Amino acid sequence: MRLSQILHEEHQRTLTVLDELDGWRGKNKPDDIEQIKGLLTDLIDVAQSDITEHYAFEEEHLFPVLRMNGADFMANMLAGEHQMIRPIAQELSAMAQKAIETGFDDQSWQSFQELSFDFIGHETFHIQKEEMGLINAINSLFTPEQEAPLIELYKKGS
Amino acid sequence: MIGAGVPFGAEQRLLPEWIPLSFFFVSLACLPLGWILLFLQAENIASFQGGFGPVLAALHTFTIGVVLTTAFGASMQMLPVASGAAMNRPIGVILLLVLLLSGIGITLGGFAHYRPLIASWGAALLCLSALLYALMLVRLLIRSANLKLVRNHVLVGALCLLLAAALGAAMILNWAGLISFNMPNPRLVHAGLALYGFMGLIVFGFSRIMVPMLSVSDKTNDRLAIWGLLIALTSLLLWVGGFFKIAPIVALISALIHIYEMFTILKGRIRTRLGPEWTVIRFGWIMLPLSLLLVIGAQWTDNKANITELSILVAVLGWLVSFIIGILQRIVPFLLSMQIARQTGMPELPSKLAAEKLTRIIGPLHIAAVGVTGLAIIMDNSLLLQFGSLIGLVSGLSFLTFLIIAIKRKRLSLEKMKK
Repeated sequence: MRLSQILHEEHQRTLTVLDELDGWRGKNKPDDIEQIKGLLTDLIDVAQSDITEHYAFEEEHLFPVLRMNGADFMANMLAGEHQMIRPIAQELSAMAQKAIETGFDDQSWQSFQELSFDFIGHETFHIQKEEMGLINAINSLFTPEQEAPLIELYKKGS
Repeated sequence: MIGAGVPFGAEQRLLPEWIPLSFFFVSLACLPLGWILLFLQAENIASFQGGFGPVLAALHTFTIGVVLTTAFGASMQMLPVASGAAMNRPIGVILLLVLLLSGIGITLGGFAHYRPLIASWGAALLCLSALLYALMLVRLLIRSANLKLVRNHVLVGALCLLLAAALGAAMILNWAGLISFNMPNPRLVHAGLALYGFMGLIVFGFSRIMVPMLSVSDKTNDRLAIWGLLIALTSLLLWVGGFFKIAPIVALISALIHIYEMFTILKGRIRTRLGPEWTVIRFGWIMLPLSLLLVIGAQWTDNKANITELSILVAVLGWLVSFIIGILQRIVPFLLSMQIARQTGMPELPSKLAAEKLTRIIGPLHIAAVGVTGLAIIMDNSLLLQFGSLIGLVSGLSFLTFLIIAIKRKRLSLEKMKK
């Protein structure tokens, strides 16, 4: 499997979770935390693997190559977005963890919803740009042989 | 992968902001203007049998004013972003803009006031702009290693544009008495090449980039699209060859293939929630085969007059303008967001630049306007046509306001981010 495919599939997974999260938009807080527990667990997982590790890998191994090939603008823009999204994802993940343990009250549900939709907007737009730019660029920047060690590294890290 | 492009070093693919915005601004200014002309000419629509005059000017306000201008602007800006090709030099695009806008203004003026010589000058400028556009497209796409399928659609479309422009100019010069031009059914051939040849294939091609990107889907079907293009090409050749009864039937097959692919892309999207602009885009998709059914009806029955007018209305306002209204509601904030990124390094969320309340009314009002004007043509009722035009006018003005608000919000956002 090519590196682009691995990253693409992670994007798909993230988008699926975001879509489920979006389904709660404007809804009252769940009567029973079990109703949303699966989604909260997925959200925590996404924040860890598809945000923290995925972002770190891109910043460390892919963006420098983009910059070397004259795509500073794209690399800087995507890295800047990472910086903006990362704290949102971390805070959301912490909220989700707390909710699994103690449930939501009206105030925490309201805060969770607001932050969720902020996260959905930024992360979806970010993925759209990565899919248009970065994912395609990877295939033109690396041969399958060149990217094999990177894939190994990524698998070890995650 | 979602979408098919590589904006590798996307800042090198962004024209200065005012250039694409000028194309889009003119296009969106022509939209309410076209509805005003339709309103004013409501009583003459029923008796219109072709030929020059204000009704022709009203029709071309939509076709060249709205559709052609958007196609030129979007091609010059979105193709470099999406295809990975280095964009054309801004000076060339500015020249294209000047030729196109002066050509549109002079041609429409000549049409509306029965001034053949003036219209001839306008046609000459439009032909020059079509030629320059085709040259720039070829240059742009040949340098692109990606998007071969879109490239084929766009190149065939550009050829149709040149033929349609030449034919249109020949008709005007003939009207002005400058040349003697004898060809059976030139208007039909011109309309077919312009609407389904150029504009149609551009829409087919662009849709394969824009729809997956905007709906977050990767369910494109290249093989199906190749068949669709080949069948479309066959139908265009049949149309140019004078096989008017067969050509639209073949075109219908191509249209259905395209619509099938579009709905498949949409069905395979990851995000369930779609914005309000998708209602008018889907409406446009349905109007495409409907317009061809009407063309078939017009060619196979004796009752040609109203069906022909209805088919033009459904093709231009129902299909093409609807698609443009839907897609531009997403493209404009996206481009403005990228312009913010070019200056600050960070893009703004496009949703924060878009006036959400307006997006909820622009599409539905346009759909209502198409429905009411269509009904008016069937019933031959000019009062109803005026009512439909007024609804279209409100939609058009709302969209123009949407563009102005987006530009204003972009400026505010830029100031905020720079601080």
